[in-house]
Amino acid sequence: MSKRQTIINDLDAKLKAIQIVNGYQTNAGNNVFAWREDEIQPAEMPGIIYVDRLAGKIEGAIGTFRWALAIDIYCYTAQGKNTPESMRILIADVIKAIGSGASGRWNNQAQATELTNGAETAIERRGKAAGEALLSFNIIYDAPMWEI
Amino acid sequence: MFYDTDIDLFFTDFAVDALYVPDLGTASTIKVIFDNNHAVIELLGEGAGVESTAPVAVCKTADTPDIKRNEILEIDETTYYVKTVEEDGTGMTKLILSEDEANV
Repeated sequence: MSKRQTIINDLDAKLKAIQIVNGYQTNAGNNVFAWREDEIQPAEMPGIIYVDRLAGKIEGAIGTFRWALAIDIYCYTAQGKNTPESMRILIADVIKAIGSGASGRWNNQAQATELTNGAETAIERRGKAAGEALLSFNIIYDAPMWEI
Repeated sequence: MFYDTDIDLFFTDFAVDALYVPDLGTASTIKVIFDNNHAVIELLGEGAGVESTAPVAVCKTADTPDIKRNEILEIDETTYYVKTVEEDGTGMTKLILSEDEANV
């Protein structure tokens, strides 16, 4: 299994651990999807979609391939008039989950994790209130040459 | 020539009763032409859309001269909150609705 897949498996597990019983403020971990393009249903919120859109090769130590794995996490929530507040709570849960464990080291497989664009949010009330937020970050890790 | 009474023709066959509950004053039953089609809401313009509906009520402007955002229309036992009010200038008003109250 590639290091990239191992890191993604860890990301998936961390997001699915977002449960109130685990000390988080939401149960968004019940609705975690990878690369989902179909519409989110009302019953699937709060929910999370993640995509590992780009693995960029960056300069690193000689003899290794250093990768910047770009992850986009889309957060969805619908809590009526409290949707803005619930979106802030969900964003906090996701950031906490990413930083859990070895502080962004992904079981010591990565060198660092960097939040890149903060959190962009949109709320719409037509029909029913719903909100979406986007969190983007890079996981920097080294792999042996010609591996990812 | 278009007269106010001609507008009534639009509400003869296809309209339903709606209870209009203003913030101030007395609730009243008015006729509206109501649609509640399926809709996909694109929020950030990327990622997945969100399944929703697009409730719209068209009524006579004379029935709702002062209607405003977040006032209530009850239609078929469902409570809708007015999201936006669009008068067309010919005596008709389109109300964009939400099942959720605005938070501010």
